[in-house]
Amino acid sequence: MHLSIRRLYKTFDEFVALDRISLDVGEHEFVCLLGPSGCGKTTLLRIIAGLMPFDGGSLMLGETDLAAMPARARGFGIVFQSYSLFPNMTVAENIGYGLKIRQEASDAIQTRVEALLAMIKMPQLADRYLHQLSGGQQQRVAIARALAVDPALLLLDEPLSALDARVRVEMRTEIRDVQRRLGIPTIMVTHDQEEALSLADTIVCMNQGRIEQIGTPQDLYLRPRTRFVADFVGQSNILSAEWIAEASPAHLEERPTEGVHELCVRPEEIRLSPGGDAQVIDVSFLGNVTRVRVAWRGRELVAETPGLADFAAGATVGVAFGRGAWVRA
Amino acid sequence: MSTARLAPADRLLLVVSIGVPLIGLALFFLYPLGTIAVRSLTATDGSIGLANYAAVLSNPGIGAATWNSLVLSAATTAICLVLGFAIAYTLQRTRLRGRGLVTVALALPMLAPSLVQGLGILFILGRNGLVHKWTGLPVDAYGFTGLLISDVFYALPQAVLILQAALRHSDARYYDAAQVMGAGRWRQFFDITLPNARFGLLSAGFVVFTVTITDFGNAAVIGGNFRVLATEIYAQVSGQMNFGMGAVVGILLLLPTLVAVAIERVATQRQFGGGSESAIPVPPDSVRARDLPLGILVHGAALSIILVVATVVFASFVRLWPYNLSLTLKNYDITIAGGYRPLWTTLEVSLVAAGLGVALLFLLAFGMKRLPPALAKLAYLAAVLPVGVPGMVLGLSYVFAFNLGDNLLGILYGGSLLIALCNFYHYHSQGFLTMMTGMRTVPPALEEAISCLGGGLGAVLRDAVLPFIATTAVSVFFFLFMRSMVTLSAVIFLITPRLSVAAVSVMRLDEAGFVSQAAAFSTCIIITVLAAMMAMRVALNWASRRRA
Ligand SMILES: Nc1ncnc2c1ncn2[C@@H]1O[C@H](COP(=O)(O)OP(=O)(O)OP(=O)(O)O)[C@@H](O)[C@H]1O
Ligand SMILES: [Mg+2]
Repeated sequence: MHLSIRRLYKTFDEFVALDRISLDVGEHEFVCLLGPSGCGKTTLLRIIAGLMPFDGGSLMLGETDLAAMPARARGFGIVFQSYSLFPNMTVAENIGYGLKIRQEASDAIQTRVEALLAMIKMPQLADRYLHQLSGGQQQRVAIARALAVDPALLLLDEPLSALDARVRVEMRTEIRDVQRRLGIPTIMVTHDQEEALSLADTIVCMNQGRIEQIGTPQDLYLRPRTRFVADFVGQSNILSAEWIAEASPAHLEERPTEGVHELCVRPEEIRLSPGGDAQVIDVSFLGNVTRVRVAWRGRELVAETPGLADFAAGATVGVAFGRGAWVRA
Repeated sequence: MSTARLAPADRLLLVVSIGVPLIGLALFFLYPLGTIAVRSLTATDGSIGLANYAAVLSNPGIGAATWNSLVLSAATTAICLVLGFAIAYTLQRTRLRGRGLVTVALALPMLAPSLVQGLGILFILGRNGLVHKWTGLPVDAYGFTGLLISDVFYALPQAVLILQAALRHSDARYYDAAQVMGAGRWRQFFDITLPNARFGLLSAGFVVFTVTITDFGNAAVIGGNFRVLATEIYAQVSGQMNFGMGAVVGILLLLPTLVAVAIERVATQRQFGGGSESAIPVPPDSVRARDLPLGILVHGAALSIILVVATVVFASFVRLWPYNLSLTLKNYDITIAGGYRPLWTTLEVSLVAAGLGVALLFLLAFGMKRLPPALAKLAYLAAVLPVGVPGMVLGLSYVFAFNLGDNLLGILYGGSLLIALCNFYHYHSQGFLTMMTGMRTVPPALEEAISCLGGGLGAVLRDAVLPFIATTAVSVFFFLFMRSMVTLSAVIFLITPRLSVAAVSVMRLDEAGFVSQAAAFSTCIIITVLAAMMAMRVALNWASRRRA
């Protein structure tokens, strides 16, 4: 079913936590809420789950108004960062919990739990307790528990952020696979842009309780609409219109007419050539790419080239850059 | 954290779970306290005014009692702070041997009614005590000195607990840094140890002061002609039936303790606010020049406490203290003052107080974070207020509130349920705070996951809260049970000729001159409480094993 949020408004005392949020989540869509700490991602997720009331706007699932519906009646699955499994129950009991609450027959529960255990690749760990599992395994169990009840919507609040980097990348693909296979609409909160870029169909980039931009990962990266998005998603050189007018007047043609805009140029869009009027400040080798900082026309630019760069600090280089994207300042 | 929408059944459960304990607090704590205020303003002829206050202020007896109480409490506080700090320091920072013995000694006063200290000191230093018998000196423990010693023994364990916590919160890196900069041991002590423990000292000081100024048991047994406020209230009410004056003294007694409790709360908040999570504990060490005098002082104090309690136990088996020390069981054949019936009554009362108390505190702590913040603040205040109300005052207020034939609540008067309720509300704050601490260990994410999985408030209680709080609930149960077994000051006003409790029996036996029987009865109380402690260990083990 289709989740639709219209002009959702939420304050804590005087503080505006969510400012007229409008958002749609389609039938099989994977949506990531991305934004810096304190921007309201968790608040939005908890309101969708029914764990927190809101002050204005509407929240609909298909034709159903969710505003008056308690969390327990919504039938959503939720996974938190950590500490949400029952320490006094086994893995199997944890996964089957929602079904037990719904008073399903115990053999039906068992079949379902076994299927889910197979899905999260932990069939032999059914009788373990929480403290006998690794962090990654615990989060797998939490996801299986949320999926057990065939949720209408799956909500994930930074489910991977407590795990170490390698496990995080592994589980990313698993979550994506499971979500594709089951086709459950999913909203995941994260402040890790790489996670959002690799997982989401749609990314909702938030800042200070407002939505900055909604779009596909490609949209956000290649066509950021605001300076905030350009800065937050990936690295970028933000160049003022005045500076561009002198350095590369050709770029001004695409500048939108109303409002103040700046040009966002990604480091890989900047090409360096030997000999020119720019000077290399320093060079850092990052493995797959080399990052070069150069001084050009009174400011500093960051360029990235694949593999090794054949410049050293102090060398003079020529600078040329690609189209870039004009963003609202 | 507030829950958005609740299903109707959940809402009902929530209203009941928060409503019942709050109504209990209103009915059995706030209302009686209100009546005492009203009674203090009601003159004997029924008119409203400050007549009672005027009478109290002009009464030379009460003036003297106030002065005595202040002097006694100040002296006790000073001694307890010095001695308590030495003991806490020894336990926390040294590797002195025999620290286990000190811990046992400190646990002893918690196991028995406060008057046991008084009783023991009389056996040793009284007119017919051991010292008199052996030396022939005209010693007499009755009065200030005896009362001071027994109050110190009684309050010391509580001071040590607080000071130990304060010392535990320091950070080894301060000492490492000081040492690198060349500071000697004394310098470190005065520049780091003492300043770091200052809030602990402040808070321990106020607790000792409060405990002493409100204690009735020791004052009744060993105070003699040295009248203090606690005994004065009792005399006004029980002896002279002067309820108005009693109420005024009760209100007066409320003032210093309320101030003390308020300051103490601020102090503890500051103390724990300052301690960092990642503090590296200071390792205990051995320093001969420090440990020898410290050891003598600390072990001396510990042995004295043990000696006093052991003397009571020993005296209970002795034919005629101190003249005929042959052993006998005849002191345990108690027929006066209701025989052993009060002991069984106390057991029953304590079980009810603890059971009812744990249930109510559990519901209150559970409902607390689901209340709107403003209401939650009020409920919190009401829940922690009882710690500022001395037992004497609470007991007296129960008399005013419930000793009425025409009142619906009057039917409770003279019954064991009212005594149980009084004991519970007397120790409400400590139980509540412990329960709240336990409640904080319940992960909010777990409760929310249950809601999203379709579970109601009942499922949250059963599957998220109970597993985490079982251990805390057991310890709160036994705290209430033990306090209720030995308390005297509040219940002294609630007993009737037909219904009495153990601590009162000890007092009555002592008053009537049957000191050996009083000792025997005290021993029975200690044994009962010890048995309960043992049961608590077993129950706690069982609860924690189930969790693992
Ligand atoms: N219960 C609350 N009472 C008051 N303010 C709150 C409450 N919950 C959240 N806030 C405030 O609302 C804002 C948004 O909080 P939220 O938890 O949604 O942030 P977030 O985007 O999830 O951040 P993070 O990435 O750190 O988890 C923050 O400024 C926070 O301080
Ligand atoms: Mg968050």
